[in-house]
Amino acid sequence: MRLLAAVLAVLVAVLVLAGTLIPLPALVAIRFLLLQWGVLLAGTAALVGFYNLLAVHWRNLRKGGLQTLYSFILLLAALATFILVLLFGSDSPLIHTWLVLGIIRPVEASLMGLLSITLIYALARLTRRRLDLLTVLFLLSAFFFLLAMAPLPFQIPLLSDFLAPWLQNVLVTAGARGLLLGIALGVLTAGLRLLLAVDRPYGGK
Amino acid sequence: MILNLISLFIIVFAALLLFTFRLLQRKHAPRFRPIPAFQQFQRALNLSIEEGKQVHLSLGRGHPLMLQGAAGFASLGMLRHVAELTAAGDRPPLVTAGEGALILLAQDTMQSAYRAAMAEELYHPLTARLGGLSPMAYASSLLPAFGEKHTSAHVLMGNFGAEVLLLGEAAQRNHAFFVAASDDLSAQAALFTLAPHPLFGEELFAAGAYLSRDPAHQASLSVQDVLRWLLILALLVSPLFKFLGVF
Repeated sequence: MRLLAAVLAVLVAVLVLAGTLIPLPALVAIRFLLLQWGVLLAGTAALVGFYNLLAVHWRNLRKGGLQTLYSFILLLAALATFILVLLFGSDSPLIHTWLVLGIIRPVEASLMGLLSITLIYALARLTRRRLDLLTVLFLLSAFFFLLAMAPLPFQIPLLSDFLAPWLQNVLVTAGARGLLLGIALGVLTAGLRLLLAVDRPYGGK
Repeated sequence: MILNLISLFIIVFAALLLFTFRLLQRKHAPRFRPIPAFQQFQRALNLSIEEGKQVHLSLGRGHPLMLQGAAGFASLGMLRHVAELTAAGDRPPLVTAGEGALILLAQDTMQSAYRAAMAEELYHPLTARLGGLSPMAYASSLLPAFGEKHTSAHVLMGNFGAEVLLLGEAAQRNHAFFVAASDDLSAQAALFTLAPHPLFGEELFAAGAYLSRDPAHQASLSVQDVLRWLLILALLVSPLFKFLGVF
């Protein structure tokens, strides 16, 4: 069974990769079909995940304790949302207005506000925790960018028209590209381990 | 078409390198530079086991069909290591993810780790739990785990956004060990302000090689190093070629 899972995974990965890189109509068609199956499987996995969420909170509810109320509210909200989306569809105005615009967006916006305050607090503590060259550079660049991008009624000479764009276009872009290239190499080797069945997070290894 | 051919060449070349390093490293184990975050994590893991406390591992929200899925797969290697070490401990590790497919893979990985540790009867599928499906919902679903007194270490490896900062703050308030790595640049910037030893860029993908010392992971890290040097060389040489009018 484990061998079959590995052979299937490698075969599908090779076919999808070949369909992406070699523009033969047959390979492209196979890739398209396999991706469609993949999307179906991902949807099923989301449903299994939803069941997992319900099971965890149902267990909390039965155990009692501090988390009971939160678990009860979560179960109620999750089931109500699931039924409403099944009945009206995810793109209906009712779902969009009441659930997305009325509940999810305001809560997420308040958490974003909290995040910005937490970031300022973490920045303030950074100098106490770790004062080295990287920290000084980080704080200086954060300060310059805040100053340059703030909606001020006037422009700061040299900073707004020369220093900030130069920092953004040269140093920041170069740094970000360096990090992204490193991540791309990591993604490549992680993908290769899966493709060669060296890593098998399915069926037992 | 040329880009496709270059991509194919890079993949085949990297695969050949991976095989070569795997064969070479059977005789000589490679030596990598020390990464303090991994050293401290191993220490925190050992302490958790000794104190009978729980380790919380969060795998992020990388969908396996998307590019971010690679970060999730990388974190599964770390999960295997943690689960194998803590399988027979007093408290099983708590695993959270923001993707249904990642939860299924995490459950499978944990079960095989428990089997390898000869403690399969202790495995419970609900130790791997789904959090919220959007970034903020995921962060807030994880917050209760950060308030637990019996959890001594929180490891966040995978695809996270800047909201990871809220979780790091919660961990520090409870004096718990916290280490995090993400493939997202805004999360890396946010983590720089918080983590005592932040992990950058591809260090997320090095966890398996450093912690489990798995030969395949070590070989793939060596491949990354070789490819990085080739990339640096290409970046240095290409302007020269352009200057000389070669292309």
